[in-house]
Amino acid sequence: MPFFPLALPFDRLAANIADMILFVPLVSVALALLKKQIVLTQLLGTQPQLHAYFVFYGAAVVGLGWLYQVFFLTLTGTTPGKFFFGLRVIDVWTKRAPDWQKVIFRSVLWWLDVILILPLLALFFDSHRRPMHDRMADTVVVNLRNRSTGLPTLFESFFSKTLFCGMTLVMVLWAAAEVWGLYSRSNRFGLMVKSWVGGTSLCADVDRALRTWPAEISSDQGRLRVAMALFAAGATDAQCLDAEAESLIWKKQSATAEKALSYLAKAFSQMEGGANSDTYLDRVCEIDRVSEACAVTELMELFRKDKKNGGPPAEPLMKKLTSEYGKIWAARYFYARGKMDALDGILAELSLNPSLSHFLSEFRIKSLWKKNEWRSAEAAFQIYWENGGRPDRSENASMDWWLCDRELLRGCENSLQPSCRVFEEKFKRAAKESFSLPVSLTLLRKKECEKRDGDLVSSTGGERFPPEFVAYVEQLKLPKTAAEKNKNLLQIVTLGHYSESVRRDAAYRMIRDAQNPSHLKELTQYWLKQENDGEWLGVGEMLFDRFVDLKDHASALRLSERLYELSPAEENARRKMLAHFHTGDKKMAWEFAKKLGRREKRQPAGAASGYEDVRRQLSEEFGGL
Amino acid sequence: MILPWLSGFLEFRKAPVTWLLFLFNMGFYVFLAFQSYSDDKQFDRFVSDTDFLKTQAFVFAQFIERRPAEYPTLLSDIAARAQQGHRVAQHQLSGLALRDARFAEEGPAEAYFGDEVAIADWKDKFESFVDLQKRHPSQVWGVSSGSEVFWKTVTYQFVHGGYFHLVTNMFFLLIFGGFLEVAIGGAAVFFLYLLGGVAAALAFSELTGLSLAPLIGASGAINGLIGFFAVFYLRHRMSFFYFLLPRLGYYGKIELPVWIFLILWVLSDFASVMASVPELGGVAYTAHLGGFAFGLGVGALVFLWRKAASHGVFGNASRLHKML
Repeated sequence: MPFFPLALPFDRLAANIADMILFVPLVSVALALLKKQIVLTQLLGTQPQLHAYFVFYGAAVVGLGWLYQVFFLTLTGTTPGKFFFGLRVIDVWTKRAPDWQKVIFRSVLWWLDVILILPLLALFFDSHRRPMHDRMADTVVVNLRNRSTGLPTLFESFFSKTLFCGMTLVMVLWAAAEVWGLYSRSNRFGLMVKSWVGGTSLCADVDRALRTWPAEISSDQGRLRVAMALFAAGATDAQCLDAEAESLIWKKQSATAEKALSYLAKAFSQMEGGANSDTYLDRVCEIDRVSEACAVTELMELFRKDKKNGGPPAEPLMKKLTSEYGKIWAARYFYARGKMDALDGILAELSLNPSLSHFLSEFRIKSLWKKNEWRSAEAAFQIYWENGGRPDRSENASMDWWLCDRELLRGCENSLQPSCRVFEEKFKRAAKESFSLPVSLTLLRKKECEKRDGDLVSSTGGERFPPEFVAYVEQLKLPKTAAEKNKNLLQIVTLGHYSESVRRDAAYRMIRDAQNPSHLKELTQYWLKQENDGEWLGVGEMLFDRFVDLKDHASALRLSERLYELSPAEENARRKMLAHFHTGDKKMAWEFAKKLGRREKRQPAGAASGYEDVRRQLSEEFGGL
Repeated sequence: MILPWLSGFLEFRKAPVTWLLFLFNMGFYVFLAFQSYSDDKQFDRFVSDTDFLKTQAFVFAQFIERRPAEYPTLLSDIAARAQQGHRVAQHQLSGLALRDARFAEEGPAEAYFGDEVAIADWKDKFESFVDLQKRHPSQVWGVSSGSEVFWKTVTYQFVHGGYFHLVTNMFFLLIFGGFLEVAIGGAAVFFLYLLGGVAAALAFSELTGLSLAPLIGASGAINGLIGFFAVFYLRHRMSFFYFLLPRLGYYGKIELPVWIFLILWVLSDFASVMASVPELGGVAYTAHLGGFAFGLGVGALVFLWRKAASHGVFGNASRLHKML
């Protein structure tokens, strides 16, 4: 038993906080020059140098903290903060201030306890409230002002032991999860800092692809070609392509072909998120008419021509498409025009490239399907599916479902496509197979597109649908009036326990069936509050189109602002233009009209009407585009 | 958390000038906030437009490269790193470009190599940004290299960057201004406040150098008051309100010698000045120190004059004791 009452944990914590008020300004002055050096190294040094400085800074803080403790404890047996609260550190044997050797030892262990944190829990269950640094140094902290003994109570002891075990387990699991997360993130993300000397932040996807690329690539232009090929094949994202394009586009002296290529890359990288995509595309052929990059832009122009008529022949362009990215675009063109033999030729040329395997598999399946070689297509699909081609994490998805789902997303008129017919027949025939949620929703959507009567669940086999889908379909049947239906759907959208795919389906139904803007107000408010990306962005776009159709331009304006904030792509710039125009702000509408390029890529279904008229009016009022 | 506490300002009839300064600062802040609301939103859009900033970094790097004699070596090195694609250097340079008066004047007129689409876009936006900057209240009233009128060394003291900036400054104004006004009178506090602010601005422009980023805030002026206070009350004990933990016994009032507070007060700014890289700009710590030095200087003169004349400027000791 100590001679004086023990210091309570809160006393010690408060004393340490009080010490920090004095310590922090002192250490800031002492390490000011080092901090300045760290800033300079971040700008001009290398990464290893920066790491070294950070480690040194940390060590200096620990060292100065140790000195602070040693100085005060050796002289007085207490620190300024402890003194303020009446605490003293005493040697358990001599009952006096500890000698300098023990103080030095104790102060080192104090830092260890603070860094590890868990040993400090002994403050609550040790009989003398001595964490590791006190026990090892034979010291105890007492409170000269305390009237009670300060011993831990049974509750404190039990609670802190349980907490100790629980926290240890949580920390181990958390550390494991963090390490795993870091590993998978570094695999998934495209950007990494290559090195600080020479200092370009380039794309990890390209580095990985270069290791197995069939041809030797050493130049920046070669890297960009690889990045373009990966992007065209869906194997990397716009951010990666943008980083590679940046490294070339700002070079002091670059050949015209290099320049044209980098402008094309910028155009692609801006297609979904930037507003200058068309401007970059226009410049490509202006810079180098005979380059492969120009040939690709001309091919893209052909894509936009009337698909039913096939457009002008593209064969002269094909001769210029010699690198991988050019061939991928050629493959897309041939598929769209139904020229499967030509497509097969391109796929064969690209087949030696392992980085493009995903793209090759997908197009191989599509090509076989179009040629009615269904068994081969199915076999190819199974291989593709097993090797990571799962867009929706569905367990039993098949190629037919996958193809039909994509057709229905493009519109109800595609419900009679062969893929959808085969899909439905196959699922009806497969005796005991259960459906996943995405497959179930596709079946429901198909049935509604074809306006068929009857209950989908009971006619196809109730047990085969997941319980969530059955519950959803039952929910859809319940309401009688339009208002009840709307309220019901809103509830489904906002309820967290429904899956994403069901909630989105409910949102689409609300938008499709709304006859009055007031039916969509709550859905709009909900959507505006969410972190909207991916598929939910599509819900926002549908909402905008519906508000325009219902002539609620104020709501359309609000939505367009948020859509543009989330994705400043051309479509959303067009939405902003329309919304500002219809709410009377023609000046702002004109600002957005100027951003838009001359070519149309995709027109939003509802809002397309009147778009050209608006543009023409603005152009007449403010000057030509 | 630990805050000084002097009760002079509570007797507001005895500290009318301090209260008037306080109310004027608050009112002016609200007025400017309304006036600049849409400009602030536009400003935020610019500084969060990464494409604009990235292009600006490349452009500014080329601008610096063409003028090796006019820019320090550090900036030339950063420019070279930025052109190599170093992200940190690009980020730093894009911010510095917004503060550079020469670049604002001459930059858009020059031709640059690189991403011509991004450069054209940048030029449009940069011109709008410069217009926005020119009409923003902090530029109109603050001290910057954009204009060199002396009266701005007074007006900048009443412009604040945000409500947190305002609240912290006003807190210290009430604490120290209120106390000093009871002791030396309203007129003295008023002139000490204004002249302290002017001295802070001059110290800042000499030691740190002006840029397009304006100097604003009452900190320099308030440091002048604190410097003056320090001369006469160095060895006295001052009340402090502390709050360490939300438990009884861990918050309350204590009395500490004023010199401890002043050492900690000056040390933080001093450490920040030592740690800063002058070419990269930053918070105006030199303004704080300049105002403080001014207050110290004036206080020392008054102290010496008092001693020589054997008359107390601070007359009533028992009233003062009550304030402390």
